[in-house]
Amino acid sequence: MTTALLSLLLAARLAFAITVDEVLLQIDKNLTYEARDSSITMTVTKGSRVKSYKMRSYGRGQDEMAMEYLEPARDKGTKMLKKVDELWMYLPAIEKVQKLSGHLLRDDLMGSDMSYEDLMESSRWQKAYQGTIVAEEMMEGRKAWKIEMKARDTSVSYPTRIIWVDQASFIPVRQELYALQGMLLKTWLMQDIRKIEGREFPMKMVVEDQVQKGSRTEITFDRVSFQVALPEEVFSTRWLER
Amino acid sequence: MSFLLAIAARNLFRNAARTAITSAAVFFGVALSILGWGFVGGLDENVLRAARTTYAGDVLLRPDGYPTDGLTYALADAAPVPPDLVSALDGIGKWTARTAFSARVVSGPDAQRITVWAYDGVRDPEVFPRDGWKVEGRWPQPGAGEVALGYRLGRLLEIEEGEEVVLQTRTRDGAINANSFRVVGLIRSDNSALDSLGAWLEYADATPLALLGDARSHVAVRVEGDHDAAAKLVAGKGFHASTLEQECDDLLALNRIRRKSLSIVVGMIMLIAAVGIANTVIMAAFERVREVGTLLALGMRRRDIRVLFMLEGGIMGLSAAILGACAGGSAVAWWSKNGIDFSGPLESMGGSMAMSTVIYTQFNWSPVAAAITFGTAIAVLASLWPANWAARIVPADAVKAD
Amino acid sequence: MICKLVGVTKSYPMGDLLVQALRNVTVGVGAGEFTVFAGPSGSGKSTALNLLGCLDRPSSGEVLLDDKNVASLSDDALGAVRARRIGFIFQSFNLIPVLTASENVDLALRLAGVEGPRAERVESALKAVGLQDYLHRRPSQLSGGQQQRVAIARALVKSPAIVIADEPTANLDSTNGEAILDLMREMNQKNGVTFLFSTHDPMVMSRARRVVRLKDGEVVADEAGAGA
Repeated sequence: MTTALLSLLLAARLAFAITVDEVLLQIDKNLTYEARDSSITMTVTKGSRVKSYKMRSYGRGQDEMAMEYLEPARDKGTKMLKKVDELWMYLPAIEKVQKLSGHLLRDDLMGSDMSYEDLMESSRWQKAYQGTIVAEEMMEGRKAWKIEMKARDTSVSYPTRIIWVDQASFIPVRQELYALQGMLLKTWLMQDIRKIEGREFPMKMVVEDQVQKGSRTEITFDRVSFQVALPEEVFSTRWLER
Repeated sequence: MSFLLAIAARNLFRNAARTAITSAAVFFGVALSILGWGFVGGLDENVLRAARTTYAGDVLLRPDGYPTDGLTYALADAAPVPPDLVSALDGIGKWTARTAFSARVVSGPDAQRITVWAYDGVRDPEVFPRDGWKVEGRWPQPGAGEVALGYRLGRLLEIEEGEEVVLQTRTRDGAINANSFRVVGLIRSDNSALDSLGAWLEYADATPLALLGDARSHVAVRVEGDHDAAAKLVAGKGFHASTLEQECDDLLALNRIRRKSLSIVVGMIMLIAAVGIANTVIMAAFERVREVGTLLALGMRRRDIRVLFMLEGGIMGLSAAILGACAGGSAVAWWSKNGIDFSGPLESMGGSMAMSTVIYTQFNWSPVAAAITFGTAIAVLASLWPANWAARIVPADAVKAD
Repeated sequence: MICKLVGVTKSYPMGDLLVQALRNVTVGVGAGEFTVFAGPSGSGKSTALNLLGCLDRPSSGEVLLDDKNVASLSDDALGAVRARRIGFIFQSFNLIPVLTASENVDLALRLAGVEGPRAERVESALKAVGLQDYLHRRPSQLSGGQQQRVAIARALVKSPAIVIADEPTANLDSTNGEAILDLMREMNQKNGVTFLFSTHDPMVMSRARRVVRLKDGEVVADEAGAGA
């Protein structure tokens, strides 16, 4: 019996020409770029209520991201800056830069289905999870590895994450996020993968709350460019107040 | 004196409209002050009742370092009740422990941030007898996957008994957990904050959901006798203790401010009343120069003339004050029995006050007596100058005045 | 003599000037008289009446009432004298509007310090002026003539030493005025009540037994009247 199981495991392992670590590493690489400048439309749907935001986002490497809201008028001028593990917000209404920390990071970004923490977490998968490739299957019309990831410790927000990684682009085209006792909390899709300036990039993301019915956030990249020169000050808190 | 009183009383009816308008200010001042005092007294009582019967008991303990603002419930700061504290608690009275943690309740397309109160279904009612609470349905059975919600939360999410909801929260370590629970009861307590943003979960169900372990955030004790002494007996054992009164001090201080502003408003009304009465009495004196001259010619003493006009002001003040006291006092007395339901206005305020939505005013005779005395005294004082003016009229000229 | 002015001067400040209303006047009224002080307005007749009625004090000279000088009494003491000894009848009746006819009359008795039951005296005083059926009427429910009758009853009810009437008929029509005057005359004759009037009405003067004429603050004549 044990031998049979062992040989099965061995077979499974041998069946994939790549290890989980290699996949995760490749995903990380994918998310790393010298510079990124993009225009984004975010649509938040809660039942019959739909809200749209337009923003401009700048990125550098894996750890730096800056974002500015352009629409609607009431949120115009709101800015966000992420540096490694730190997050700052600038709210024009109170004309103040605020550092978000602790439980505030668990709040939803502009009422969407993503928390600030969700946005910051992707670069830590390798550190936070123990992954296993469990299958190779078609997902979103692409050939993908199905990887089951278990949190390495009890402080990780989503104790279980199942991701489907496109074998061609190394983009996680579908993610399922589970609660401790196994309830499916969110699904996260990356779609419309295009080659932009020699780099595979999902032009659309859809995050759906699976607990709260009809709660859904769509993010569309209207324009992405990687070969840009970003001024250093974009990633400083001074930029927030400007 | 009695005939001066009779003349004064009759004189007030000579210009009934003017008397009524002038008296109205005293009436409202007195009625408002009695209403206001009764109401703020009721608020005090309400605040204490809400705290005592829903979360604080007579003495409330929280783990050292646990936030005391009543707004944040940090599960990470909750802690087990140490054995020496347990025996100290057993020594001073009935006690119960709870663990509060924030969560998201989801019902179909609706979601709401709430505070879940994990409680011990056996010990809890011994400390919080739930007198006057209204329970639609019933309290949860331990370990049955059942939850009770504050009735206003239930109404907000349009949840009926028997429906399923998902509670989503973070464990003590930070992982997200969620589970389905059947809503078996909607609870209307004495605490509007609990009713609008609270859910009640037995430890048997709350512990696996939030991985509470032995962590407790609140220990409420019901004691006979002195709260301060009881608090001292259980202090310094990893939990800090505060008495019901200390716990309510912020809200009671708010009521003290309310009392002050009420006094200012009443004072201003009384000032208006005093000006009105002075004006009315001086007008009466102007109009009745010939009459005063005649009374003097017939031999009335000047001091009786003064008394006559002060009586007119005084009667006006006293009768308006008595009427105002009757109106204000009976309203306060009625509301002290029947209560005023503030669920509407409180709902629009967000309803996060730790108090009942039904406020029972506090009826006392002393503010009634004080208001009558004050109203009358103001009136008499306001008549002093006009009465002195009238008493100085020269009869030889006055008897021929127009 | 019931009351008497002896060398009385009375002056009023009027702006910066001192106007002399009476200049060194000596005149008295004896018991049972029915006397008129006559003269144009400004002659000083009202001032003389006020002084004799103890409503005012002279600038100099003496005011004697029952042979006692009252010129320097205090307000309250003068008031007490008025209450007991002097009845007043005014041109505009001056009833207290919130009191009924009988209460107005009673007020005078009360202020005079009359002890014991007063109702009978009040009633007979009103009966004497023909108002026994109007005891409980307020002044506003009475005609001018009736009001002045109440005033007469009020003046007489306390049996004063003298009744001082300042132009008592001026606000009445001639019929009512004559009737009032007849009434007072009758009381003078039947009961010996002393009356002192001021007037410039010839009809009143014609009923007087003595007419004292004043002009510019001085007595210019003191003569028997047509009613003597």
